[in-house]
Amino acid sequence: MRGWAIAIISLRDLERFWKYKWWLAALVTMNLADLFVFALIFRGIVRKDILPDYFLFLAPGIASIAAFAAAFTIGREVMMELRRGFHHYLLSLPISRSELVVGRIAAGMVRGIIYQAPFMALLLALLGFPGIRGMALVSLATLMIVASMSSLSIAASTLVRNLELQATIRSLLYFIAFFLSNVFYPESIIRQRFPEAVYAIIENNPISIATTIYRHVFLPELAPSAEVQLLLAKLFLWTLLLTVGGAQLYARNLER
Amino acid sequence: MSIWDDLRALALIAFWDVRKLRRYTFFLAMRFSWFLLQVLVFGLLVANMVSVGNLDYYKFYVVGAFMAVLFSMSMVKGHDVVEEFEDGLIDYQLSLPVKRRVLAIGRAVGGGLSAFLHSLPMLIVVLAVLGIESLPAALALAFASFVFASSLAGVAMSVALVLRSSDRLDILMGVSDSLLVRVSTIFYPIAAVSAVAAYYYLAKVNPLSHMVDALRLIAIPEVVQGSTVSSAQAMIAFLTGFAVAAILSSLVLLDKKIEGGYGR
Repeated sequence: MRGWAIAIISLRDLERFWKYKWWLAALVTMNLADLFVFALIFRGIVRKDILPDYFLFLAPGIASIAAFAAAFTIGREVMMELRRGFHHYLLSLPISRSELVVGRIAAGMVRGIIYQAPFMALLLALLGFPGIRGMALVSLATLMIVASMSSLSIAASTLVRNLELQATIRSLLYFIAFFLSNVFYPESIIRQRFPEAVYAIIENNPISIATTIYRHVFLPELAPSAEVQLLLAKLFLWTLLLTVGGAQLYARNLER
Repeated sequence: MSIWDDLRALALIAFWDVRKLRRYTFFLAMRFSWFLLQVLVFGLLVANMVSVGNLDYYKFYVVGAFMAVLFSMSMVKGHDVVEEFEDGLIDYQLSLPVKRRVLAIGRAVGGGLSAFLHSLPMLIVVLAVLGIESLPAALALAFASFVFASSLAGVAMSVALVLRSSDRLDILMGVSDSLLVRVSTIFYPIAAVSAVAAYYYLAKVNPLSHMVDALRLIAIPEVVQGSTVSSAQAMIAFLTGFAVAAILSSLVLLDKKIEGGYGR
């Protein structure tokens, strides 16, 4: 595999990312509104014995959601290409199938990392620098979450032929990952309200895993017992599974 | 043309929007799943975390989640209008033997009816979750939702007529969805919003706050008595004014802005 070929494919996708500046502005507004309106107001009504500061609790979750949402946009791109037959052009390029597939997944990752950067800067400003080890952990979690979500989104966009159904599947996956995570609620409440099986699903959602790692690094008092090695191992498994699965589905559908 | 001809034309225009419902099967399925997740996961969990006096937050939230869906479904009508501009469908509608004002009111009512029908499955979930068995209360909820959806569709249409660009409309819709929904009493009572003065005053003049609290007064009066954004009479007056202003603005804009072409 040639690195420059992968880089060209990824850069092309990154350029296309900036073309959706209006959509991006709306997404930024939504994420910021979740933090500076929703969380700020909610801070006043959330029971202090459960969460002393809901605003700070939500901030790492928003960084996690930001990376996930931006990485997920690559699936829409893939869907539009299949709709317009543009993938035939991509297949005619003098690059191998694997370079094309890896380039697309990498593009989703780059989108996620770039989009998350200002939210990460906000976390640093709000909660302070967590040290070299902390930043290394956060970077590793970010890399894995954007790789897995980029692959998941690409896989969802190639699962079925019906384009409306594709969009529905992607949206549904997005909402499931969003709501069935620990971004908005602490694990104690999830465990108290839902059966063990549902709790296990929420706890092992990749978004929840990345959020717990962020919280462990930035707000150790909120995730004191987090077993970081175990969390990283789980996230690695998700990344491996989704990246390999997503790449194979995309490669298969490109040639159908 | 007699008044009956105008009414017949109005009905034809209004049902034109409703007939497009079949195209949105997957979109509706997705929205419905999203709503179920909000009510059965997010709402249940968050209700266990908050404490606002004696307020039953879960019941409070369920009505708010329905309002958020109704708002978003109604605002989608703006996108439809922009697409119709691009497809030349507005040209076709302007060429029909129908008065401009009938066309404007018909599109707003049709948009409202279509948004309401899109939201109807969610309303049924709300009735079931809240255990509302009273037919008058259910009909009042449906009627109020339909009227408000028509007002919002009128606003969305006016905004689309002014912007005439799907890009600009996208950002405005995204921003309005994010800010108007959050800076309102959809997710929290007005007393909680008062923690931040700027948000409090914005929520007080936000039509979504008045509408969602009016729906709560109909659906769960025992839960929200005394914690609404205004008194029942003031909310009805505010919402009536909003509906009239929304329909009038779309009427004036359709009449003035389209004449002489609508090129960008």
